[in-house]
Amino acid sequence: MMTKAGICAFALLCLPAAAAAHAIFPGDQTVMTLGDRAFVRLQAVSDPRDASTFAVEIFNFEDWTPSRLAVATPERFVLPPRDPQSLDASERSITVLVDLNGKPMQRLRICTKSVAPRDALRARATTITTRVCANVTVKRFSA
Amino acid sequence: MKAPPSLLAITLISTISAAHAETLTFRGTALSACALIAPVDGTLALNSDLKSWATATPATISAINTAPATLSVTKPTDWVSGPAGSPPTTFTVSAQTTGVNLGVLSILGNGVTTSLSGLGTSQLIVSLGATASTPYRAGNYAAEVTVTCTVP
Repeated sequence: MMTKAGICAFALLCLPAAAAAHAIFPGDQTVMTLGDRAFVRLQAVSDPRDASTFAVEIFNFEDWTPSRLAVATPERFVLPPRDPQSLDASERSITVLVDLNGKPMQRLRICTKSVAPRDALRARATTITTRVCANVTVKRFSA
Repeated sequence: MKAPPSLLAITLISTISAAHAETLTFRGTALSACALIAPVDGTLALNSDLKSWATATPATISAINTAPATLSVTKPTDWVSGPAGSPPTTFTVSAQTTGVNLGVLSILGNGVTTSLSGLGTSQLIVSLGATASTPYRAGNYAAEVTVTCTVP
């Protein structure tokens, strides 16, 4: 079974020791609801050397425009550095409340994006920020 | 009441024959996901015309996907840091992948994208260029590209 920590451990074994994995689990899920709203739970995982800040972004599935039908808690979070004695990655649970807005189904992309620390002393640089996304489908039980 | 010897023998034989094999099952789930690993920032060098930057060392990052995924790089719209009065800049981004998914990313919208159809580890190499119509003044410049990985 490849668990969240498993992927990060796999990454650590395959890549340089300073590797820092950024992932969100599960990558694809469907949630059924009887009402007009549903809670979706995801797990953000990182394997940072230092504490890292992440922002949660929610997009409409088709066109990647920001969605106004869902709210994430938290919207921004900090993952502590990984315990050097452990292969387990730092992780944080994210809850997203999705409003069906009268429709039978909503499809969203829920992403976590790393927030690059600002360092005015770094010159002539290209900074990489990472974003990993999960697909979420919320469906209403039909009568 | 004492059972007859014949009944005891039958009971013993039936107990022995009741021993049989059991099947033990292992189950596991490989979660559908894409992880981005080990981002390494790149560096830029100012060309002699002082109006354009080219990549001196490319930025790199690795992706591990357990399901077919899409990898995209969004180019910057402006410098995230730079001296005051720096000229308006047009950025270009290019990227290629090595590893289980090999290829050059195709231009899409405000960046480049590719499909990670193979499962496993891919390395992404990103180059950035920047041009302006007037010379860049002295100072420290930094631009930010966003690498996005998602299962389609």
